[in-house]
Amino acid sequence: MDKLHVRVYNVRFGDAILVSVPDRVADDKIETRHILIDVGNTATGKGGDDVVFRPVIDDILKVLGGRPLDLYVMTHKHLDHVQGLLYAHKQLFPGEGLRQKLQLRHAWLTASAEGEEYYKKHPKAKERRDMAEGVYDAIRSFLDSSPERQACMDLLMMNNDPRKTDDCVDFLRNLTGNDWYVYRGFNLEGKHLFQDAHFEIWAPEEDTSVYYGRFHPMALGVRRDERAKPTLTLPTPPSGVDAGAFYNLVEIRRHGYVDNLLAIDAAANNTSVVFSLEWRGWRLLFTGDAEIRSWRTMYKQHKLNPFLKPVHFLKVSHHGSCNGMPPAEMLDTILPEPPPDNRHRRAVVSTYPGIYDKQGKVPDDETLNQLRQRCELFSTQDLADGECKDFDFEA
Amino acid sequence: MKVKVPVMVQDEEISQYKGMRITEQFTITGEDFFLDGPVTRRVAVLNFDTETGALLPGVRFQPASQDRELGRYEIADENDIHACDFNQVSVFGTVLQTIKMFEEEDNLGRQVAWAFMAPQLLVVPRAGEWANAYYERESHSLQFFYFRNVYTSLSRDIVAHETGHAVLDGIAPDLYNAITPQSLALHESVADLTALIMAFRSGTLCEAVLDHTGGSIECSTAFSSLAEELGRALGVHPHAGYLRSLLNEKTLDPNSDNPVARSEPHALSEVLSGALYKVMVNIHEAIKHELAGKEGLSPSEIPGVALWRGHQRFKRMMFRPLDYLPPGEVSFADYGRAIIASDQASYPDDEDEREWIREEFVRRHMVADRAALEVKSNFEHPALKDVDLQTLIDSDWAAYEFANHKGRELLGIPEGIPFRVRPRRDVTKLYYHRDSEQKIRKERIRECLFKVSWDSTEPNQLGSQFPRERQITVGSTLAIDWETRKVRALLTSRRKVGSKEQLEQQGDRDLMLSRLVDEDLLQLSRRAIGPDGKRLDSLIVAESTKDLMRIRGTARMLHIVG
Repeated sequence: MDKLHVRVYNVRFGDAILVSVPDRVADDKIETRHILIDVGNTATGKGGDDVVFRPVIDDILKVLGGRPLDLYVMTHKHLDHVQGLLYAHKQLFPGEGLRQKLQLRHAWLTASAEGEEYYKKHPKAKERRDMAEGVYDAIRSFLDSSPERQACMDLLMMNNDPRKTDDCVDFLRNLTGNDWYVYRGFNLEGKHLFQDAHFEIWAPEEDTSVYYGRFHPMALGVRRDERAKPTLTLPTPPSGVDAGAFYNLVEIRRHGYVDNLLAIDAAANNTSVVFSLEWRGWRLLFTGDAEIRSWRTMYKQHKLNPFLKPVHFLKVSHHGSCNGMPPAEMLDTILPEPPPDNRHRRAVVSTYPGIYDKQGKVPDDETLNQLRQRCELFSTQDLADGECKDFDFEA
Repeated sequence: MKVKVPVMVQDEEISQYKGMRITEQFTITGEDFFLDGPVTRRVAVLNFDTETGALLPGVRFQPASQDRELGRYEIADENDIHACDFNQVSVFGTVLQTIKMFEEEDNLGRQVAWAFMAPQLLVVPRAGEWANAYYERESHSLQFFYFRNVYTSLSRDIVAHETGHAVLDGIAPDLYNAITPQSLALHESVADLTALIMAFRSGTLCEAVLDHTGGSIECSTAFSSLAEELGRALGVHPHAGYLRSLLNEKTLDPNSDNPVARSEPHALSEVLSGALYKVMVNIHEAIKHELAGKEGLSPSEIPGVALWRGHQRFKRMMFRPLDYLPPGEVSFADYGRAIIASDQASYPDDEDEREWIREEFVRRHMVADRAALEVKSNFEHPALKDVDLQTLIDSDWAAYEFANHKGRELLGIPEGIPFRVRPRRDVTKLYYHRDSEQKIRKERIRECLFKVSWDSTEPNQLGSQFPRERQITVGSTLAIDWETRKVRALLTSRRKVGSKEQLEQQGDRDLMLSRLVDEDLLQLSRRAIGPDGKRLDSLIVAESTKDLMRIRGTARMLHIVG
């Protein structure tokens, strides 16, 4: 019997998912086509051990069995989703080895990954992106000059470093001549080879400016000099000024950078390609790292022109953080209780504990418990490095 | 010590197109000391370099000397308003000028106290590039940003407005944590009225405007429009060019031509400010009428004199009642009742102004009818018999005992719930009365202001991720005449469950909180921690205990968001 097969790998703090879909080819013959969704991890710290990619890539190539990879989906420009294939290209298959082995036919990348062409068409998004990059640079100077650095801040900085992610995206777009920059409403005809599988893109919106939140005012107090390392200014209260209040003010004016860094991070997460795959009565939802602003935008659009549907499989967004959880009313639409067709529902979270322990803890127990009330939940935490978990959907 | 400082008449662009002087002088009196900065015991101006964060030197203070009667700050060129030194001194002057307006003996009649419980308000005239300015209790500061070469600290409207927020926070601190849109809108309105009254105090501006309008304040945007220069830079009202207009017909009636969103405090504040501006117009017209034909005044002088007298009356009418506001979640109606109570207790026979208030509040649907603004004043109550007011002021224990026993019913504290007694205030304000011969006589009235608050709960409609109930604070204010022991005012924010006012307020809170959730501005505390383990700054945080939600710092975020 035909089975759709989802294989989720433990790549530590990151995503790597291979979907194998029995599909009709010529003469009504059924062949298996493959979709690879993101390969990456945090690239630094304990969530980013690159050694895990070796067994993962080997397994992917084994599953492909020398046949081409039909579709690669890059959900968004974060290292923990994009850096794995570039790493494999450089470290595991030098030269053109990986490209030749994958024989990628089509690649879908999130709309804004098109780069300057995209931003020419969307000046509002460009304005917001430029502002975000300016803020990012200022924060980098501040952290470079700051005596106390925290690993989690380094991780967020690296994940959002446009220079680092640009290299990965360039590599991915050049894996095939058929690179498409997708968004909700993008016409997918001719952008893949699948006959029996039906795809719908739920997010992002074409104009990604909607995903940028507010930037908080910040006065970081960093002296920048092109020839030297930036230095932190430590002003002292002038005569007659309440010293405690003065230092408190300086600290509060500085602290806005944390909010801004998270806003930059969330903006990129919210450009995640969220898509559903329908195959012979099953509906699977892949969400990248969509955060609450993206979910709300989807729900708002759905109210205008319904497209959200109940699903049987959910790739939990954003590694199980509380910010990645759809709002309750939307959850009632995609995972309604009871299931409308009484089928067993499953969800998987690809995550790694201890990376963001202070920031509302990722994965968030309460979020995962909410999902457990609606479906069976699996976590890559329960797998060894590089191992995978399979989910089968029988025709 | 007296110190003379230059202050902005309004803002640069508006001064230019109205053909007015850009600056005028203000003499500061009554401060303990002056230091470079400027710095005094109560206000310190801090000029940070926006690029490097370094603190730039303060402007040097020159005390009075044999050659100079008044102290001054050493500004290189008083005509160069964009220079840092001018900016530092002018913002300092406007902040102190505004504080002193509140402290006048016919207004609050006392030194203002900051809600942050420290003596010094920090003022940052160039906080960075952004189209905003705000008061922030947590950092004890007013922060003024610049945008496209428009320095918000060079706008008298904006500086007075933000100072108004700081002063009001000291008088009614609960408004900072309120979750009722009208409570937050009241903060905006009072700040707008502060800017308006400071505009009326500028002789230069009044002269220019009245000349231009033929003596009316009804048809000029110079008073009624706030922050014109910034508004133009932002393109908010491209034709008029201001951030907010007080000359408006906005109403809470959803079926009117000018309804406002009940969930948006800034928009809501225009309804209240519009109503009160109309009252000011009426006062001005009435005084002009009164003065017409009076000996010693030429017709051309009348509008200016009427404006000076009128704004004083208006100031007393608007700001003295702030002391009477009950603690907790208040509505426009509560403020209306406080205005009526304060005015009625002082001028029982003079109904005109109160009538205008009632008319506007009803017309703009802030209250259902005139009866909703009825308050009893100047009455005796057995609970106050033999009460030693000085002991009530001095002793927390005595105050609690009074509220818990003798005064519990009077204050409307429900049975069996814990409550808080707020710090009592012993205040004396100057009142002007006409005697039987129509002569104005001064009278100082001393009051004991006694406030209590308690918490109550209501259903929370924010969805399953939030607690099912939320906490709101309510309370009562009792103003006791020190001499007669009569109740001058008794006002409460407690609402009868199921009453129209209670249901409206609760609905408004639902609307605003839902909007804040939608805009990612309101977050549960567990989701509001940054990767550094510290609380994030850009959120209103909802604490949750046993399925009960409590929110703090709403006003801070709304000030910052703008």
